[in-house]
Amino acid sequence: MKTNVGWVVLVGLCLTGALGACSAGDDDDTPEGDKFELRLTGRDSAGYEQVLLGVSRIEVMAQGKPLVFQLGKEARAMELTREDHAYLLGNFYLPKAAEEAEVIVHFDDVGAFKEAGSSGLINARSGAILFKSKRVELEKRKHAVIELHLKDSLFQARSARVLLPSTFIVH
Amino acid sequence: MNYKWWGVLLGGTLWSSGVRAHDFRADKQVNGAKQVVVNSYPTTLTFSFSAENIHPTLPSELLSAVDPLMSGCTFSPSPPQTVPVGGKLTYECPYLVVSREACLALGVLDTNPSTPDTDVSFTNVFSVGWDSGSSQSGVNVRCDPEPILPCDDTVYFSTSSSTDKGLPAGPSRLYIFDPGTATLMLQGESALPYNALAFNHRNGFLYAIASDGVSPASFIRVDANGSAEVIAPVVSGADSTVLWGAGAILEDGTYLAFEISSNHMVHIDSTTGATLSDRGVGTPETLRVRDVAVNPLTGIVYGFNSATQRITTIDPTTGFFTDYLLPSLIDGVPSVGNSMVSAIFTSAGQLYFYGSTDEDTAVANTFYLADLVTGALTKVATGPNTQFGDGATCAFSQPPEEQSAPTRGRGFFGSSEKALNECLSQGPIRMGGLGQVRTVNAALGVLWANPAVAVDGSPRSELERLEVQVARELVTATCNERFFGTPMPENLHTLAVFAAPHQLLLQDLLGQLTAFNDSGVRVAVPLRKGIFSLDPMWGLENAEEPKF
Repeated sequence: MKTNVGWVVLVGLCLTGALGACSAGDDDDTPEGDKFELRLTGRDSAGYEQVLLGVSRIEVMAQGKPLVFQLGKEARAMELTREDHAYLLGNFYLPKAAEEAEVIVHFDDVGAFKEAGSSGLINARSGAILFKSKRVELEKRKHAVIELHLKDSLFQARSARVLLPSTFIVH
Repeated sequence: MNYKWWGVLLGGTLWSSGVRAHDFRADKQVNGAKQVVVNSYPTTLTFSFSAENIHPTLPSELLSAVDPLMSGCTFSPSPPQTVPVGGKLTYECPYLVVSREACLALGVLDTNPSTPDTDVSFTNVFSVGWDSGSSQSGVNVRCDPEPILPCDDTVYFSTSSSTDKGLPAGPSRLYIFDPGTATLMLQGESALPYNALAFNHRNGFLYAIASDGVSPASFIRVDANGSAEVIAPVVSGADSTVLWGAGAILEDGTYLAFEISSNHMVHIDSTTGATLSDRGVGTPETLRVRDVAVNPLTGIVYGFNSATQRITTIDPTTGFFTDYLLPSLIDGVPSVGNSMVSAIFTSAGQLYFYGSTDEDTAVANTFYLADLVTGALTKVATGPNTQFGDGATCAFSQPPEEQSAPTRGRGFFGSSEKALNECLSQGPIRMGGLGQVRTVNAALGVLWANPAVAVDGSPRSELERLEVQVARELVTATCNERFFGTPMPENLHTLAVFAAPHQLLLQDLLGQLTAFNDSGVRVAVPLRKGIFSLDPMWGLENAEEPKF
């Protein structure tokens, strides 16, 4: 098991109170920088009646430093065959001087799917999504949206379907 | 205004399709697949990468192609590249894996926080970028110590292709059948069309007969990768081109095969391929058995006689066969016109078949449990349609000290009402400072709890996250111990009964519990446990959020 050093530093800071509350907070806790949303939506869900995944952790880095990420309540459980909805995973604040954000979305390790006549488990341990977004792109609509293409992301393995994300990042 | 709907509109953002402006699609494969298993070293993996222009009308400019883990791979022609409508840039990179250790080392460097683990040694992600977006695609690689066919209740299954005349043809494919999900997982393939598959507990290899109805049949050995090696021609009084379909390994490691058009039963030395005996058993009108299996408790050979629709027993020494008194009932209804292409015995003495149904006697897709007293069959799972299929398992178990103990992850117990009920029937699960789990719904609440966000939408603190993770793994570990009888390390019992949750203690406990719960995930769930379906939707619907 490996751990992102930046994340450990962030957690340590949170625990010692140096950054105050690291969760969604009031105005006093609003970090400096420009606020951007991170969203996730499903695509190519034909054949599935339901695909349920949750997020376990999100890391956002800029200029080599971890940023505060305010996790949204929708990150807990997402039904990704709803292609008309982009779930709000949360918000991050990009420092004014930062030109790029690096994002890692870790899914909770077990999910579920339902298709005609049966349901089954999703093994999402391998399912981290890693990408970089440029400030100029983020500023277009104040968000980055991950499109997870379900047809090309779930592969049968022994006892479960493995999540190997095939994604587009749009802004 | 309906306030309920007003709340929904405020709480959710409908996603507009107007901003779906992506121009490239990334795809990545390894050895032509999304997941591969390596079990011999050194080996060369071939990673292929592609960036396809999916813009409907315009050329697109690829600005970056990145694979951080495969830093030795060069992308030529290198970006930026203009790709025409419908065009695709394809890259290929051979990668030498010199040892299993080198493979596992890649798992420490990749983007997957859980690797290397029992399922995946490393995950490799390819990313392409253009002026307004990016696309990613990944593959999984697992590096095993050596090719092994487990001697447990793993169900091996083989199929063959077909010629236009309906005769078996290569390739034959070796699968593992998972009764819990009723799926076949490909292990590998061979150019030889084989059937009559049997597991030899003496050396851990599969044996079979390759016959295509044209050339003389051969006795072969099949390894964990599905590769076949010819041992010797099959010498029998039957025509040399008959199609051998039924095979079993006896307790002494010798091989017994039966053929349904000539009704020859041949007994073969599995080491040399020499014929030990060859005799006629019944006639096509009285005995048509498409696969046979040996009851490890009695040494008697069993099969399903499609000529009489009865289970039949064959004495392997004399060749004398005896049908059950009455035709088999399938779920209470008389069997009509059925064939069972696969017969397997577990070491516990349970007989299973894979074969057709009264509804469609031409398709073999159903897994049955046989009642050895009455001869009745019970459908336990519906799987894929198969062609020239045959099954095998390790009927003669290894000594207890050589047996591996099964475990499963939290998803298994969160999806199996039977397993979770049996676990909790042994009493509450005590979690020290985290409380107790007394009911199935409470256990489901723990097993399906999200570590990052509580059910009320509030983000969890780092301590709360650890509490959720530890509780999930502790319920899972307890159920692994209770349901499978796989003992938890003694110190985990002591550690788990802590008075007050403390971060360092929880972190340590989480690591040990996860290691225990992962320790036996590759060992088959014993068929006698009767887990023939998993329904996570049942678990999610009944989960009650825990209070720690």
